[in-house]
Amino acid sequence: MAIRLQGVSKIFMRSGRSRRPLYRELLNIRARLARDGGKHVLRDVNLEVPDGSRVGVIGRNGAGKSTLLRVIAGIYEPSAGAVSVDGRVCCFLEPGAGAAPALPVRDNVFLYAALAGLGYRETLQSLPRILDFCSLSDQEYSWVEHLSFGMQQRLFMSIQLEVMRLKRAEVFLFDEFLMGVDKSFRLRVEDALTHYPSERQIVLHASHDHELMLRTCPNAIFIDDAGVRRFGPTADVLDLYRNG
Amino acid sequence: MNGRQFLYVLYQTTRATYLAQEKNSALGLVWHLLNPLLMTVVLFLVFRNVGLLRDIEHYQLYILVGLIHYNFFINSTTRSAANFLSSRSLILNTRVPLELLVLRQTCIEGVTLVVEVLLVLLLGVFLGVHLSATLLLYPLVFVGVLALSLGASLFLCGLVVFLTDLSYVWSLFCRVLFFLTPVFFAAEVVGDGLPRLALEINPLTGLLSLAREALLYGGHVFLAEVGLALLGPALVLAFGVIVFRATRARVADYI
Repeated sequence: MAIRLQGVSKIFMRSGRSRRPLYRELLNIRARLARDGGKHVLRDVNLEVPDGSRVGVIGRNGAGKSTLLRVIAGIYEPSAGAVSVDGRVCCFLEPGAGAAPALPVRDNVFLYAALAGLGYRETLQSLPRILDFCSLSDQEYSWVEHLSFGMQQRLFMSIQLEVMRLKRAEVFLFDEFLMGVDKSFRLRVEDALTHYPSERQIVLHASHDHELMLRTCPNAIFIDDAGVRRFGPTADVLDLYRNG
Repeated sequence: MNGRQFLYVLYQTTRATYLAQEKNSALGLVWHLLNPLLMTVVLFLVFRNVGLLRDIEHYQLYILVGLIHYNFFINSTTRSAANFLSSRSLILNTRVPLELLVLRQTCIEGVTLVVEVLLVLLLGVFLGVHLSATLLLYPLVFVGVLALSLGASLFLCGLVVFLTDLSYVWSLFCRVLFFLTPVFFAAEVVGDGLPRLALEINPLTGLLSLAREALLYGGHVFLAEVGLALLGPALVLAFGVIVFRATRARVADYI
């Protein structure tokens, strides 16, 4: 079993997310202590995702989809329970996180590929393929900040897919990764997501694009009220989500 | 992430951060050199005729060596903390090791320090400094200031996410530190008492003394002096690592 979550909970202390001057925090400390029981974003989640799965993560805004992906990625430490992930994790949870928009496309490919787990030689060999995939072959030296949002999305997604194709990671976590891209690129990504993953690789992606889910993910997880309400065939999970 | 991949990611992120910082600057690295040079000129003109300072050999270079190491320490620590706080998106959305985010700013400032040291050597030759075998000791000084800055940066970054006001406290501390570090004066001119004690426990004092022997005076240096100068930075580094390890698991929750 490549991903296993046992009784995982994640609590955020409400006050921890409001950074105010120290004197205001101190003046307010009694009120803070009174209300700060924390907020459960995930509550007692049990989940087993086998190797070779392509799983959609469905849920309303604020249901805990991104938090679930971050807990699996090891970015958030669970407040309770245990997470075990076999293999390397590659995540695309926010477009361009870690990229340097002030630098050219070429530099960003090397930077982003390094963060995704590729070495220099692999990136150099993959560079033409990455640029071709996102239709940026003629803009290798253009500044990324001069590209449209959609073109930036294309670039970063293409690098992640190259990592998948080269099998340099086993677990891929995506969060609304096709936001802002046109239909032709979307079809290309769907094709890659259907054909690239090997029997050892797992793809988990959170999205509100249910048509995409149906086409690319045989199974889905429905996150509701900080817990997993259903994990099963995507069509059934979507029915439950829409009706209830 | 293995050691080799860590170094490669460190190289890529350091390079990208440096190039992005320098992108809109016409003079780039030259600005980093102008700052200590200008400060040296001002301090030299103001203090060159003051009592015991008059006797310091190559006083202008004495100040410059002090300034570049002091600047390295405050720039790398202050900017590490600022960069760490502004790396929210990177911390929350990638699996980049958090230590790497601290280390990249120390590396950027380290490159600047190397260039500044070369400038000191060049000016030294021009002003009649005789370089000796003691110069070979300088890499130890470099390692010492690197360890000291990294330790303080780890300490700061480990806590600044939870206590944002720490940035202001640190900025105040750095101002005070300037007068408790023998940048433009010799430690010997400070009388007994609290300031003297502060100078003696300041790890920069021993490192600056060694740096000046290596780069300017070429005098005999005892092994114990080197060991003592490196002890402070080693302790600060160990303390920084302990604090950072204790807080790193909660950084993503609070940033």
